[in-house]
Amino acid sequence: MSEHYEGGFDLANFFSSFVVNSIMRIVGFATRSLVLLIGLFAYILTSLFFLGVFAIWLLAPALIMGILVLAVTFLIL
Amino acid sequence: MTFNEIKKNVEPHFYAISIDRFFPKVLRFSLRKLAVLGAIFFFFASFNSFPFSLSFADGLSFLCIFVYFILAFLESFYRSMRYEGVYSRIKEKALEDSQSMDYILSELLYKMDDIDASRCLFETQSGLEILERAGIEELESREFVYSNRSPVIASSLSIENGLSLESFIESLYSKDKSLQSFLSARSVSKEDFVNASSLVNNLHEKKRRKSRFWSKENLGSIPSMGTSWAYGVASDLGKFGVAFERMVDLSMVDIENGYRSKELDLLEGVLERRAEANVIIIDDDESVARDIVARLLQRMKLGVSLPSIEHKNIIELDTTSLTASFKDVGSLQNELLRLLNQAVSAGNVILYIRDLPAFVSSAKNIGVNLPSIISPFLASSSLQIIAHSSNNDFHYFIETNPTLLERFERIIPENVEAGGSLSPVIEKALDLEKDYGLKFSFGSLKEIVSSADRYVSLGEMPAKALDLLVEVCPWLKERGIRIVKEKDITSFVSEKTGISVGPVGRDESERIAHLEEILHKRVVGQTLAVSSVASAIRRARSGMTASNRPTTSLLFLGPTGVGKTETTKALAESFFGSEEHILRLDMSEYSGPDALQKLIGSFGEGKTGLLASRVRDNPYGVLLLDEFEKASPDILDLFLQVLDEGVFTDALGKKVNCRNLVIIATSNAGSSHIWQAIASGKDLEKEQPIILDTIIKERIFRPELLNRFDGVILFHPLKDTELRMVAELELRKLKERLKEKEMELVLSDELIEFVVAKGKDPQFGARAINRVVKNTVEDFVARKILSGEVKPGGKIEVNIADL
Repeated sequence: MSEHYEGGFDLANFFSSFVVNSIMRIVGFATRSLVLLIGLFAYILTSLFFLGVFAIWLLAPALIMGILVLAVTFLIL
Repeated sequence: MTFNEIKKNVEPHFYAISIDRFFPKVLRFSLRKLAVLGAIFFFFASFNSFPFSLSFADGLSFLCIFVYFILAFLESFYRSMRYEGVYSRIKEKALEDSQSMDYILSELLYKMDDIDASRCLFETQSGLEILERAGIEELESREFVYSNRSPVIASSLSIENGLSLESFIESLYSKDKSLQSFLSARSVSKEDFVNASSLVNNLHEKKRRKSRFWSKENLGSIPSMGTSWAYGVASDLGKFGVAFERMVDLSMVDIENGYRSKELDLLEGVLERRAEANVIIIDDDESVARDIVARLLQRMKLGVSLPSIEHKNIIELDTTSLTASFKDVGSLQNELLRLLNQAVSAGNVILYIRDLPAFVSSAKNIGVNLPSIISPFLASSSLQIIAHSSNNDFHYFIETNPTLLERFERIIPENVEAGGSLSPVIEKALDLEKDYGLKFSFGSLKEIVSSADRYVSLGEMPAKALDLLVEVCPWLKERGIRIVKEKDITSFVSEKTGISVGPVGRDESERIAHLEEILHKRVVGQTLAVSSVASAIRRARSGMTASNRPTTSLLFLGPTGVGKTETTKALAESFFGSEEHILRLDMSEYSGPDALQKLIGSFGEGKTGLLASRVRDNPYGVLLLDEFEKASPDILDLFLQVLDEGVFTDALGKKVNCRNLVIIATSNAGSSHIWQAIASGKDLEKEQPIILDTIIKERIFRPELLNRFDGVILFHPLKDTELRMVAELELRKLKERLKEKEMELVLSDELIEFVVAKGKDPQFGARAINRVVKNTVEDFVARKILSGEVKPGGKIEVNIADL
């Protein structure tokens, strides 16, 4: 979406397309930036999540045993 | 690879199968969910006293977490075992050093009985599926497996190349004799059986690949966000543009079966160019072009197309409504320019224009010079156009227009023969199956392809086969057929076309076995001729004859009135069911210089020929060429080709298929020699070469023409006894006709003798007898009826003296 300025000395037309196109660009800039930010945020979150899962994966045997010990202690106490 | 080695290799799959068997997927899944819910529930329950107190609930919560972890790790183990040996389009490190293994093979091996190897086929779901695809119902398989048969031991099996299901099935088939006879009794060949297993295997492997959601190829096919931002304005070209995706069904398009891959690679190669990246696909069938573009779109969606076109949109320009909506030059031109400019500023549009020549000519009718308008756009780097044109229109409209011609790269799709049509048919069949609740056996799909190729005369492959497939589905559903076998297809084709296809039924086999007797009911004498005709028909019906020639072609030689035409009629009646299936051409009408034009049409006048149109309308039947020797030499040359190839090309360049015709040419060439031979008491069969030689010497037929007939059959002049039989036959026919009017004609020996004596004319044979019956006997009867002497219910006695 944009307006076309046909050229020539027509101030009204020039300013109208100037304003419309500027608004369009500003709105476009805002939405794109917002989406990029959300994307970046999601990216960081996934990376952290990945790190967590990876840690669990590495520590799995100890973790499972630990949780079982915890469960038993809690149940007995 | 021996059996033990195979078993060792597929062990990872065995773990997965065992887990699935003892701890089904649904149970695992619901337990995992329950554990998570339990952990959360008990965690919150422990807050009741005060936070983080050491309570019973906390213990339960930890227990749930423990259970969840155990299940989650079990699932991971299950997955890494299950996806061992899976194929991946995109290379992955995890799969690099494992050799490919078919999961169904492991399922079969898992269930395999050491002393009865084939049993696993009947006891596993996938095994039964393979049998179904081979065209065998579950009930039949069950009967077989519990029958008295000699089983084979598992250790005797071996596989040649790789752990593929197909080679295992092949080995099983060749080892197990009772399985072989069970399958061949249901007309399933080894090839069909292996192919059926391959079909099932492909389906299962595809599912296995798809369920591995973390694989590179699956993640790669997820569309990424904001790719269109890299291009200009987003555009859908308004109401005259339709997203191509909405026009085609991509769900079953398989880009890996190699179908049309050559054209696709070409198309991608052209579209990748910096400028002038436009393609025109030239084929008479628009669906071919559409299919190729759909396959390109599927490649793009799966992320396996060339990177430069990966994120583009294919938009179809709705040219019909465009030209219909604007009636004056200016507005159409404006709209066109607007659309094309929009597409250019978007930069990611691939425009598809169907039937470009029609668009050009309808724009021309309005007064718009389309080529000059779109030419600069075609040259630009930010718009690509894929157009379609039919062959004729391309030569007529595009080739004559250099501005258009030089901007387009031509792609002429290869003609797909019957062999190559199988993969698109399978694709479509799998799609249709779901709608109609059918299951096509591999044999039936093969039959669809070969029947369409042989018996559908209009159109090209594979479109003919796909049409046949679409037509057959409702027919099958109506009849309650679930598993589609070869014979279902052949009976549909027989019903549709009226010709007998496929295995010979009992009724028909009776008819064919006694074809001589049936023919003799109408044809008097001519034992030799009748038996050679019958054996030619038997050869044709048994399917031994080449499929690229007419069903059979025969030349009948003999004097007039000896039964040549009658034999043809009797043949049409017995083989095709009625005399109406005869296309009769009197070749004496085609002896002039314009004969060929009459038969195949003329290009200049745009007229189709008689032979071309009649064969197209009635492609199954007997083509009777009477008095063949009188045809002009051009016509004889035409039939030289028809007899040899089974097709000819008419004046408009269209092929006419004669492969379902029985072609019979009759001629009285050489009849004087036949007379002489009979007069001197020689055996006609032995004289045949000499008679044919004289025909060739007299330049009536050329030797190559005579050689192309499947058989040249000599008819001898009728003897007295045979003339008597003809007379009797004719009088009986008259009697039958009178019987319908409730009058009885009394036949006496005297009357028959009279007819024979009066009609005996060696020149005209039976025809003279017919004439006597008509001119004297019928005339006599007619006068009696008209004078009122005979009334319905009365008797007519013919007094010889009155005639």
